[in-house]
This record gives sequence, C-alpha cells and structure tokens, in this order.
Amino acid sequence: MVLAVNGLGKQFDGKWVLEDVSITFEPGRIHGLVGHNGSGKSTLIKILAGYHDASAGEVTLDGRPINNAGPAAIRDLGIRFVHQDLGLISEFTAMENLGIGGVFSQQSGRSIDWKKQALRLQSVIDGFGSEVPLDVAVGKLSAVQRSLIAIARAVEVGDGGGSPARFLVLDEPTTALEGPEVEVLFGVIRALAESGIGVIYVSHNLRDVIELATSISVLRNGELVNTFFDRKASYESLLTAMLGEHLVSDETPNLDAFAVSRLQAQGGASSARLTVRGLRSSLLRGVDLDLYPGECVCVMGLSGSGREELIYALAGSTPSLSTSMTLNGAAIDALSPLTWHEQKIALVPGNRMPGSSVKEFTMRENLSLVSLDQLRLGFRQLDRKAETSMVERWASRLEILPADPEYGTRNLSGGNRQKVILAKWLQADPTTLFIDEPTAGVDVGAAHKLLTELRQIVGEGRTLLVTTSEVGDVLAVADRVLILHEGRVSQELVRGRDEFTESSLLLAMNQNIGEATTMTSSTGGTK
Amino acid sequence: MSSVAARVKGSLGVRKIGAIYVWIVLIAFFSLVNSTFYEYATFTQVLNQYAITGLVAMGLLLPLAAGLYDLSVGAVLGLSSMTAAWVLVNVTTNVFVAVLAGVAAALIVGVLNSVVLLVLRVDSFIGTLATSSIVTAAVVALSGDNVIAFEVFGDYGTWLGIHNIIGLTMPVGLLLIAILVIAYLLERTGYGRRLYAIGYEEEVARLSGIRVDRMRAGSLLASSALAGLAGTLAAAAVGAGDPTVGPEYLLPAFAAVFLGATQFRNGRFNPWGAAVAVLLLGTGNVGLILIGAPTWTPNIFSGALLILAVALTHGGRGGKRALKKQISEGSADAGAAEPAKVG
Repeated sequence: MVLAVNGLGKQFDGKWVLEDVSITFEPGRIHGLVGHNGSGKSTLIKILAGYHDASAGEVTLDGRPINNAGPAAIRDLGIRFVHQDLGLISEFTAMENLGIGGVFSQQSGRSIDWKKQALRLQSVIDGFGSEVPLDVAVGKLSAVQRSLIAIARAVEVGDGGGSPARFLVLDEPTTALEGPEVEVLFGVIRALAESGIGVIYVSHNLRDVIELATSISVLRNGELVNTFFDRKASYESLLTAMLGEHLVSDETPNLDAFAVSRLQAQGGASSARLTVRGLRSSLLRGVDLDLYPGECVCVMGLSGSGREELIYALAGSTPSLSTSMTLNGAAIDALSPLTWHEQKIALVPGNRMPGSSVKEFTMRENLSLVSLDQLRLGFRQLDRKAETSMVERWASRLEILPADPEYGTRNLSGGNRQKVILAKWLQADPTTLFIDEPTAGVDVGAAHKLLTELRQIVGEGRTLLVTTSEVGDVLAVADRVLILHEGRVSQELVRGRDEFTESSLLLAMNQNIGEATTMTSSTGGTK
Repeated sequence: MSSVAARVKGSLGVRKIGAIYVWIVLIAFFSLVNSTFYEYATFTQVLNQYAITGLVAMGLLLPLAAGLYDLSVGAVLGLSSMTAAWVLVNVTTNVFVAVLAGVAAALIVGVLNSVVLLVLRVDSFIGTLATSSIVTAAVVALSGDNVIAFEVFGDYGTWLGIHNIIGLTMPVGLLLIAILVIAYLLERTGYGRRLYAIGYEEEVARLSGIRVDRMRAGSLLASSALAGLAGTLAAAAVGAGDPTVGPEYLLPAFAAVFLGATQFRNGRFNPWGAAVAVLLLGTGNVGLILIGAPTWTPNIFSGALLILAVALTHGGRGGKRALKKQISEGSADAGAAEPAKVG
C-alpha cells in the first residue's frame, strides 16, 4: 500500500503554487515534509486531503488514482489528517469530539452506542501508553492530551465501513507542545509507524523532522528540491535545500554602520520611546522590551513561542499584564486601542488577521478609518474630496494597484491590501508602529515595496516593532532581532555586532529546540 | 463618455435598483386589474399608511449597520402608543408632551437593550427578542390589556393624522426628515463610517480605536426613539393606544431594511434602499386590498419579500460567514504562513 503523488501541480489565479512534485510515501515509515512559508506544503496536504483538486498530475494509492475524490472518500480510503489546530471542540469531551471526525455521521439515524464507542476509543488511547480521560471537556486537558485525542480520532476505524487508517498526515503537530510533551507525541508517532501506518510529518521545525523521519522531502517555492532517504539529511543540508542558493539576499540594504552607531548613541533607558517589563499573556512569560526612536526591532520565534501574540499583547488588544511600562519616559498603565491615537501608536495586523481590514469597504473607506477626524468639514461632514485625494496620494506612494480609491478591498491582492493597511496607520502619523507579519501572503514585488517603505519610516525617526516568520523581512529591515522561545526572549542579535545572515537567524531561532541533537554549526549568538 | 454611459448603465442595473423595477411592475399590474388604483389618492394613502413603517425601518438601520438586530421595535411601538394615549387621557392634551412621553418611554427600552446586549453580552437576536417579550408583557399588565381610546378628532389626532399638505400627513413629513438625517449620518459623516465598520468587522473597528460599545448603545437608543415616535403616530392614526399594535409593523420594517440593503449600495444597509422598499411594500399591500384580495394576503406579501430580501443579501449571515471561511481557507495557502492567533 503506497501513497504517491506524481507530477502534482496546483494553480491559483494563474500562478503555480505547486509544480511537478513527485513523492512516494511508504507504509510504516515516517516521511518528513519541510519547507518555508509559501513553499507549497500546505497546498500539497490539501490536495492529499481532497480539499483542493490538483491542476496537474495525480495522487495514487497503490497505483490507483485517487485525486479529486473528495474529503469523505479520501477518509474512507484510510488517509487521515490531524491539522495544526487539531479541530477539537473544547467544550466537548473526547468522546463527543470523536463524533465530529465523521465516525458517527456514517451511522446517522441510529442512536450512538456510547459504551461501544468509549471502549474502542479507550483501546486506541491505551495503545498510546498514555493516560487520557475521555469524559472530560477537552479544553481542560493538556496540550499533548488534546493532540493524542485528535490522533486517536484520526486513526480510529469508525463504524461505517471504510478502510482502517493507512496513512496519517500530521501538520505542525508540536506547535503547542513543550519539551517533554513533544517526546510523548514522538513516542506515539513512532508506535503508529511501527504498526504499519505511513506517517507524513509536516513541520518547519527541522530538528523535530530529523529526529523522527526516515525520509525527508524539501519543498521550496512550490517545487520539490530534494528527498533525503534513510536518515541522510543533516540540519545544514536541509537548511540549504529549504533556503536555496541565496542564503543572503542581495537586496539586503547595508544597515550595519547605522545600527551600531545608534546603539552607541543610546545612552540608556531614559532615551527609550517605549519600555516594557515583564509582559505576560497566554503565551508570553515575562518579556522585557526597550524600543528606541529610529530603530526597527524584529521579533522572531517558532510557532507557539509567543511571537504571534507579542504585539497584540503589548498593544493591549489581547489580555495581557506587565509589571511596568513607560512611554517617552513617563510611566503608563497599559496601552489600549482607545488611547493609541493620543499616544501616537499604531498596530498594523497582518493582512490575513481578523482586525486588519473591512472586506466590504472600498480601499478609500479602509484607508481613512483611523483618520476620519482629519477630514472633518462643518456639521461633522466628511470631506470626500480630501479623502479621495488622500487615498490617491497613498496609492501612488506605495504603488497600490489598482490605484482606484473606490476599488473593493475584498478584491485587492494580499500585497495591495497590506499596503492599504499600512497606509491607513501611517496617515495617523504614529511615532511607534507594531507590525505583525508585514509580508505574509504578499508577492515578492509588493513585499519589497513594503519593506523599503518600512525602512524609510524608520529613517524618519519612528520606532518599529515587527513580528515576522519571514527571515527575508528581518534581513531587509531589522536593526535588532529578538528571538522568542517559550514566551521569553532567549537571544538578541544586533546588526553590525552579531552575525546577521539568513542562516544565523534561522539557527538562533531553532537553537532552543532539540538541544540533544548534536549541532555541527556553531554560528549564532549566545544562549 | 463611454465610462459615463457605463456608470449610468451600472447604476440602473437590476442588481442595483431591482426594487424600483418591481415597484413599476406592481403599479402597472394593479392599474390594469383595478381602474381606481392609478390615482393620486392611492399614492397618498400608501405614503400616509406606510410612513410609520418607514420610521421604524429608518431606526432599525442604525443597529443593523452596527451589526445588531433590534427585534424590540414592535414592542416599543406598542409601549409608546400606550404611553402617549395615557398621557392624553390622564395628564394633558398637549400634542408635544404626549409625543415626548411616548418617545421617553421608548428610550427606556433602548437603555434596557443596551444593558442586555452590551453589558450582559447577550446575542442581539435573542436579547432583543427577550426584551421585546418583557416590554409587551409589562404594557399588557399596566393597561390591563385594554386599549386607551382618546378623541380622534382632538388636537392630537388632527395634528398627527389628519392635517395634510397636498394629501400628505405629518408622519410622511417626519419620515422625510428621518431619511435625510439618517442618510446624512450614515453616508456623510465619520460616525456612519465607523458604525458600518463595527457592523462588518468588529475587530477592525476595535483596533482602529472606535468606541464600539458606546456607538452600539447610541444606535440602539436611536432605533428605540424612532420606533417610539412611530408608536405615537400609530396611536394618532387610530385614536387609541393599543398594546398589540407592534407586531404588524415589526416584520414589514425588517423586510424593508433588508430589501433596501440590496438596493443602491451593494448589500449595505442604507436609507434610500429602505425607503424604496417601504414604497414597494406599501404599494403591494394597498394594491392587494384594493383589488379585493383577502385581508391576510398583505402579510404573505411582506413575509415573502423579507425572505427574498435576505436571500438576496447573500443568504443571510451564517451562509455568508461559512462562504467566507471556505474562500479564505481555499486561498490561504497560496502564500501560506501558519495562521497566527490573536487571543
């Protein structure tokens, strides 16, 4: 029983996001699938799951084509998925969650034999060698217990016929897990593979993949770069395969001298624009920050490190606590969206985040939303002419396409939408900007324009705090980089002081994980 | 020039102003069936009768723009009609005072709605359904379920229901003012822009520093006040406060607002669309009665129109959201990053 993709391709809006990918997944093996954001690995998984149709090539199970079969048929064939968010309903017990996986739906009309179901689920969980209570709302369980339930649900046979699980696809399964929990999960994954299930393990955490997988396929820009067989992949070889030849982008501006001189100029906390001590939130466990005028600080970290939450917690839009905070030298309680305007602070969410833009609005309406008071005529009337020319100004400065203020935001491409969001906040003339994932889902040209603009506004003396998972962004704009790990800053890299390359940053980010694995490279800073 | 032609063509398209075409068809149909339909008197009758519905609809626009249902407007209408009548019978025959009393009573419900929806965080559909039930019951209890009749041809009834200019009574004038004011607010001021932002994407509004709850409370108070005003006019029309008068306005008002949202502004709740929809509704209902259709047919007409309207606005909220989710999931991986989480 072999699962294979042959010459697989997928096109979105005329652009190939996956092209001519051929991989063979074998039963009883753990096959790693790695690649950076936008490499096409999610697309590949979605085609396997029957969620997308392939634009080219085919998926075969034992030589029989199964692509375009649809999710239900794929499940019946024994190909199962555990997605990153697990797809569990926190208020339901493990038993009830079993019902959402399609197991109960196949016997609709008949009442559920809970006892039988419980026994069967229990036997699967027992096989994992781990205690998981089945009658407690899963929201009350630990992260690893939830993962095990999701996996148990995926490999569970179900009543309605269909094949037992043959292949299990795990997408970023360790995101929410901590050290020892990861080991528990790995134990279960290895046991599943030994029982004959082919595991496809998708992750951007190279150390996890190296530890687990016997074969590893690397995707880059929608193409298969290489498949390493028989545990022959090393950290460096994977990294090189993932990043390609251009380890250091030639577009990187030379900011070294700039950063160093300013660092020396920074006398102490007194000149800081914003200082934060002990910032805590659901993912953050005490982060200290000092942000200075005219610098761009980038924050990196793997999923779950707190990187994705930092600016929202800092800006007070997600519940958080800090022991102290000062703005321009004066102590403040906390930041909140209601006070940003007076404090000249802006939070620019990534364009795929809830809270970034109103899809139903035109470009004009989104762009002016925080500066409506600048456009006031008598009787609180909006100055539509001024509004339109304001939008046109930004459209030409940031090269927003189409440059039509009345264009629907819904129809803008990710990059153009991101430009609108940035323009919206720049129009309010903030001194400090918190920016999340400025180039996620943004094409290369737009990303370059955005990053150039960010560099320019730093030059104007503004303070930028950028959280990103794109190393390229960091190389293009950062003066300093903070690496987050488990909710704390684990390392600081300063341009001009520390080695500041794509590999040194990736290394720093991955260094905290899988400490046991021997590392041959010793680049990177202090830990 | 061709772009102007295209623009004109676009703004006259069935998708933009379909209700106007349906309205013309209705007028033609009723005129053919009943020779007495196509007269000025019918026109004024439609306006005079449906101005009250129109006022309720104008009020509803604000909470709906802000993403909240206000199902209590029917009950509020009953409450204010009773309050105005009670004041007329027991306190003073001053028209102004009676109307103000009705509106004031309505505002109390607006405050109640604000507390239930914005402090207790109850879903607006359920919350206003509940306050509606409470208010209706309270009115019945206080009145002993009796109507409060007053002199129809007194100042109150005369001023608000009989006096007219070219056949149009006071409610039509008030409706016209309401349309203009609401249109100004929603389409010409930052207030309106912020209100729409709240309704479409609450999180965007919140992160943009908009005082979401405060603005929503204001919209609920405005909707109650306008329903209250409508109630005092409804009392004047029949010469009595009637605790059960609300429901007959609730559904048509919602039908008008939702159908109106499909007109002119691409799915956005707007006063112009709502006004046209009220005309369409009124013409249909008055026409049905004039051609001798049974008295239950107007309710079928309103109900069918509401379903049609909501179906036209992308199959309602749930459907739209599901569709959105589908679309975003489908395209999320085109430049994929793991979806970030906000707490």
